[in-house]
Amino acid sequence: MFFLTEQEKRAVIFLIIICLLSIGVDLFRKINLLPQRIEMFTKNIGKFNLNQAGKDELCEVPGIGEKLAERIISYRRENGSFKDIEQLMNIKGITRFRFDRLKDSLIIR
Amino acid sequence: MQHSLFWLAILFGLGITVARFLSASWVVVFVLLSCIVIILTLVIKRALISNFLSFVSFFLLGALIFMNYAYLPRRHINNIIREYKKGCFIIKGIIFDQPLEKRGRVYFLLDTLATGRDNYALTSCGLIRVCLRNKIRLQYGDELVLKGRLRRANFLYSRRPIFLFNVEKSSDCEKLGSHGGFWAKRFIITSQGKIRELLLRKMSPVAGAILQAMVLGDRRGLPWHVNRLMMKSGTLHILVVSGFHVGIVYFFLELFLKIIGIKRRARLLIVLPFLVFYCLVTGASVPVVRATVMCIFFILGAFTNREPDIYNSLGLAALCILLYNPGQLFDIGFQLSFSSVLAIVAFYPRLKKIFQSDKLKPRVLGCLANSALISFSAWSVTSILIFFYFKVFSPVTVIANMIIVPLASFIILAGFGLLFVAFVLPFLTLPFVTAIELIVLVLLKVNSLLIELPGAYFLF
Repeated sequence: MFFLTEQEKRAVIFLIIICLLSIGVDLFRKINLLPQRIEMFTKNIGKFNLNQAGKDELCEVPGIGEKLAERIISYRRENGSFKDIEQLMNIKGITRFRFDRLKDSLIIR
Repeated sequence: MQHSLFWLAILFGLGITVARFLSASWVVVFVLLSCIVIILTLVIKRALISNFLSFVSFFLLGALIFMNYAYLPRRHINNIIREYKKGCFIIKGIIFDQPLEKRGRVYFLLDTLATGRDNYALTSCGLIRVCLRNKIRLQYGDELVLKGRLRRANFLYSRRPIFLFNVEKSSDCEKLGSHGGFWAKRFIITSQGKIRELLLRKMSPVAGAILQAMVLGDRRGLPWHVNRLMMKSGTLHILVVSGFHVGIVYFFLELFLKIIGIKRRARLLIVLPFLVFYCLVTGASVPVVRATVMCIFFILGAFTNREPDIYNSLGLAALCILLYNPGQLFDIGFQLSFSSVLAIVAFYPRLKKIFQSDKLKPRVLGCLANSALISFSAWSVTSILIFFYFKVFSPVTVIANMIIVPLASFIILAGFGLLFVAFVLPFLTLPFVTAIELIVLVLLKVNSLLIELPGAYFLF
């Protein structure tokens, strides 16, 4: 049968002790690594910056089609950057109802 | 004992397998193993019992290491997700690998830092695979906040990321900074990018993708039809960086250092870090890690004037990989890599003896017979695994390997040559590029012809 020499057995013992120690430390760390509740890191994720978004990006917002995206961009070009989100209602085709739908998907920076 | 490391690796693997399929408390195994080690230390002089305990302890060590691997901390994203119901998640994390752009989407691994919903988040850890539509240029180490949907992916068991995170809108990705990551990994990724750039500067897309797979081990850009073609003929292994590549790197480095007059011991010491660097640049996949560990084992053997044992080096390579990631035992890459080498080592000398292939005249016939026997030895074991996983049985593999492996060797050699020339004498790259394009064309044509032979492969 297969026999290990004494030196090999010592090597086996050494390796197992090292492994046992590292596994023990790792398992202890895993058990004590509990999730902590933290503040939500961002509130603006998923929202497009109205002053920087291009036509393609604006079209991704539910409720904005190609024509409306073009109108928003031309309004931005003519009147400069948006300062208040309510300025959107100055654009043809954006009613109060539509504005309420859009305002949560857009931000101004 | 003969091949002691090999048998210890087998026992270690058995322990992992048993732990995978049987459930037991890790505390019990931990205590049991500790007791056995104490007893073993006490009875080390008693041959029979200490041998038995050594083997049992290695078996239990394999089981315990797998249990530790499978035990996820409470903070792990898999556990956090369980507490929430389905829906949209917001995840903060650091990009863990180099993002890949494919068909208008970006794919990468994300090391999560926090996971949340609308009002609050929980600190988390663990990797997820992300797929996003994005116009921002992303790289390894970037810190991101992403919003999207998670779904469980059917990856093989050994692979850690088991969640796919789909980010649909470009606004759902916010880059916070790019300070994360490990400097050494960043260096490796930058080197990979530079080597890729040098290799693919003048290549056509298909030849470039094949060369990239063969030299750098990056198969992500490989066209689907090439992959399928190679799979049917059973020669997909040539597109994986393996021991052959490591051998070439070793051979040429050694030759170069010999030419410039460096002594043998110094040569061996210089070659070692280069082999490790090549292993890391090619993504440290199982075959290349195995080959590198075996090569280092042989170099150290030569350095200490000891005869290296191939079974022991194979066992050591397996132990190194499994100690780091025991789940690799269930990965097809691991199984194919080790089984093919083991089959060649075990069967080839016996087959050579039976067929007396060395005595064949002329000598070319002997060489051909030997290469057929090597191919047959590897195929005899790998065909079973390939049938089990891919439901393909390819008898043509034995002949295909005899033709395709030499062609692939030319491509690899030309690829390394191209790399060297592009670095030192860039104006001389054209002959290399033309040669590689031509050999790739021949390789694909030969492969197509071979799989059209009657009975070349059977799909089940």
